[in-house]
Amino acid sequence: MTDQEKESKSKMSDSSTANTIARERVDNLATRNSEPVWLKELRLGAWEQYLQTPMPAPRDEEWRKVDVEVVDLSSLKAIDLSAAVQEKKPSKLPQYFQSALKAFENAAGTVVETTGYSWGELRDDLAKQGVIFCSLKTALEKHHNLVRPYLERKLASDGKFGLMNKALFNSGSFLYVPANVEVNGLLLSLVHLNEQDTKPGIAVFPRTIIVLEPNSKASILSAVSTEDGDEQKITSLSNASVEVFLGQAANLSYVELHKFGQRTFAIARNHNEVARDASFYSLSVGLGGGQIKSDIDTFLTAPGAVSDVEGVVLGNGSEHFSFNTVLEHNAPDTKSNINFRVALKDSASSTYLGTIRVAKVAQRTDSMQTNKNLLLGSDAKADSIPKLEILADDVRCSHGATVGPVDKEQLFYLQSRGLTREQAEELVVTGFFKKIFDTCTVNGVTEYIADLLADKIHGQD
Amino acid sequence: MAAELSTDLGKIGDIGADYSKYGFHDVENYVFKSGKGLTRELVIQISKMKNEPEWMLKFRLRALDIFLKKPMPRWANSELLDKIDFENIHYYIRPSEKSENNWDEVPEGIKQTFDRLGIPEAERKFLAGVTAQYESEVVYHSIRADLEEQGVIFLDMDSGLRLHEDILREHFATVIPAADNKFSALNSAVWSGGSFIWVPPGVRVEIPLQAYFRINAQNMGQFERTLIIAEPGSFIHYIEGCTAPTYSSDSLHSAVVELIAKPGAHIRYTTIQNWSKNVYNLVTKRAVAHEDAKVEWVDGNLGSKLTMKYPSIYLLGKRAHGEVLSIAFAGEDQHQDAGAKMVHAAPDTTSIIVSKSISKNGGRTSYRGLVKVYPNATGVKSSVKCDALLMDENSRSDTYPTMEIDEKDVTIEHEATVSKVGEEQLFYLMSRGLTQDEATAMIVNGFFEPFTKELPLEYAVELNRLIQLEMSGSVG
Repeated sequence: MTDQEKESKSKMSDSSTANTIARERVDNLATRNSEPVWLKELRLGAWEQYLQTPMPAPRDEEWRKVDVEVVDLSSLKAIDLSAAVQEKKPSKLPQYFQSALKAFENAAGTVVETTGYSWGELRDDLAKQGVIFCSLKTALEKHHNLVRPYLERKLASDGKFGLMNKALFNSGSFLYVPANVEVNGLLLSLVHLNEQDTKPGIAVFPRTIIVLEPNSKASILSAVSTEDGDEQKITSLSNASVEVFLGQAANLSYVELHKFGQRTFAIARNHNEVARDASFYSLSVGLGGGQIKSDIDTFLTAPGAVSDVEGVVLGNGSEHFSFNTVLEHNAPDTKSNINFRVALKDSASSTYLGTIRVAKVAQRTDSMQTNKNLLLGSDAKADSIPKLEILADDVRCSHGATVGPVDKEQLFYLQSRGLTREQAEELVVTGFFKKIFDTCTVNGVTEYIADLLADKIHGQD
Repeated sequence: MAAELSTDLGKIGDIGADYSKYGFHDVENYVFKSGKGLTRELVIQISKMKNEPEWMLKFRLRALDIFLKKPMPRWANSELLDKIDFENIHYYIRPSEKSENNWDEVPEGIKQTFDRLGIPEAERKFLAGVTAQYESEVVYHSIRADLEEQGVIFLDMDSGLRLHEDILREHFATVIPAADNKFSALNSAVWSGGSFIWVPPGVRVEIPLQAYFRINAQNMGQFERTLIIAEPGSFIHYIEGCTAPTYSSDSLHSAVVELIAKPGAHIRYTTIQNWSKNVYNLVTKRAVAHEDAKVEWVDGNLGSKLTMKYPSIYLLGKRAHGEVLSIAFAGEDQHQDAGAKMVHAAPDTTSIIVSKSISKNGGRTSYRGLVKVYPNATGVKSSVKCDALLMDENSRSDTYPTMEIDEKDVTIEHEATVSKVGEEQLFYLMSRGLTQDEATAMIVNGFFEPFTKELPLEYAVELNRLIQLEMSGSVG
């Protein structure tokens, strides 16, 4: 197919979208949820821009190994989680989310969204201090003055799918921490679609906004999952957007967990803005999905801003992960670290593309980017493209990337101690990920994630 | 060590005069100079003037069609690439009637040029063979008698086609087909000159063969083609140097270089390009290495306005080994977009890429590389290391490495650092009495040392001086 044909094809699928990804759907959302006029206009504005933006194709470097056409966009049906009315604790959650609720029973706040249920709670003392943590829908009803400016922002990371999310978002949460408030305890946000809901051809558009005012502090675990059986054909779309705005000297620990079924094509866009002396920690855990495309764009906008973007990916079957990190140093004296570790079983594949961009003004930047790939399956494939674009001279920027199998000597040593080959391999993989978990200081989170990883390594997915 | 360097540094003043020796240009006095622009008629005319066989003409015409059809690559410096005016280039200039092998018979003007560049001097220093290309044609060529007796063929490409058509046809364009990229297509259509080398099985050529390429005319395009075939168990080291005078309008150098290392053969290819800063240097260089073969590219990029050059090695046989050792220096108005590609298509193949670059006075260096491992190429080892130094706040350095690994049982490493000259290093050297310029030059020479130590002595000395020259007045 020529590029032109491809373009016209994607245009066709854009215009022929009868139900989900179409202008009528935007109208529909606005009416059904009785959204204010400004929000409807915002959605329509994003929709127009979405139509004008060409569909990404493999010729675009960030999409080189992603098959955008794997899902027929015109056949999708949106599951509107935010339309759920029953404000009570959901019962239909998968075991791994129930165990999360149990493990973080003393969480400072919880928001759970699943079909038919939307439930949230926040500790009283925090609510009294002005902290807001609720579903985005609730926030639009109760705190629209606070949410609006963030929803209206044009973001440097807005691409085709980011704009699609901006037009069609229908779930997600809102966190607002006022100045000088420290949220002690974890905030938990869970979005889940279960097998029954995930009939072929569904789409979900979660959007999460996190705002930390100056000198505030919070930590959050945000998990999105689908359960849709083992069928290999990809039929569903999850298109998520997470937008983080950290004020001066704010401090956020953000952990996200993506655990999708084999029929899901998951697209995620994280946009992080870090202001003067603010500190941002992010850990992305990729636990599965038919095809995952995740963009994590971090902007250090003022002196003293620090970010640490970590990632853990475990793939099996024929899963594909495309992680794309962008780290922009746009001010002097900023510091960043990126560290992605990817382990691939069976014929799973991964493409890591990382860019560190140092603007001319960003003198005394200190930046490090690492990507390590462990190939466990004989048909596993890993690509790594760690890029540097540096326009300032007084900088220290490094990157390193490795691809290789499990160290034979390590395996031999463990097997000589009586472990089977599988056990030994599991142990090595666990150790491989431990380096990342050691960077996470949020209480209890790494234990929870390590258990999920161990299950996947064992094949109890 | 310090004493040695300080004597060198004392000569900085001389080197300035030395460097400008490349900047002269001769009065144009050519046997044939094509009009500007690229046409089918011109391609036919070139082929006819060279008395080429029919298949070569067909090859050229097909390549021309490909060139015209292919769009300009968009992944690189489009701003500069789009400025190339293909209609404003002389594609073929013939400076004299035939290639000479006696220096005295070379026309006086051209002889002066190469005298100034030191070619006969180099020969006197017992380099094994020398070819000099002026504009489109090879004007002087010589090879040592003992090598000739061993059966080594070292000719210009046109003579190679006349005298050894069979060998040439078997290998020509097999490594880089015309359709590989836009510029290889252009070269394939209008190529002229370059070196043709064939080393018989088991023959080791212990002293390097040399070639010089020079562009003299304004708006000139130079499109030489080099083909080196090392038969099983042989060894060859080939060195080329490139210069051009400075004109106000741009010239284009678009070479194609193909290396074929048959089982157990070893090819080393050393280039130092010092084109003037109005030359677009867009070349395609690729090698294939068969079982147990070894190929090394030693690649220095100092001149040109825009260089796009990614020497590649396709490791096709078991245990083949590839190395690229490259340096790039980008000063004012220069973009050195250089890198390396290693394609591992057989088990137990190994490769090393070491790239060092310096940007100064607003110059931009980019490392663009690829390490590709095909399925079943088990036991592959590859290591890539890129270091970049930024000399001032107006300069830029990019690193675009790509690793595509389709096999599990491999060891792949990539590392890159970008930094500026260490304040502490400078302070230390200056506290020992060096000026800031001298200290900087010394640090930079140290930075490039892994490269310079791979060069024959004359080249290493020359390179060190060029760097010192570029560095003088660098720190404010």
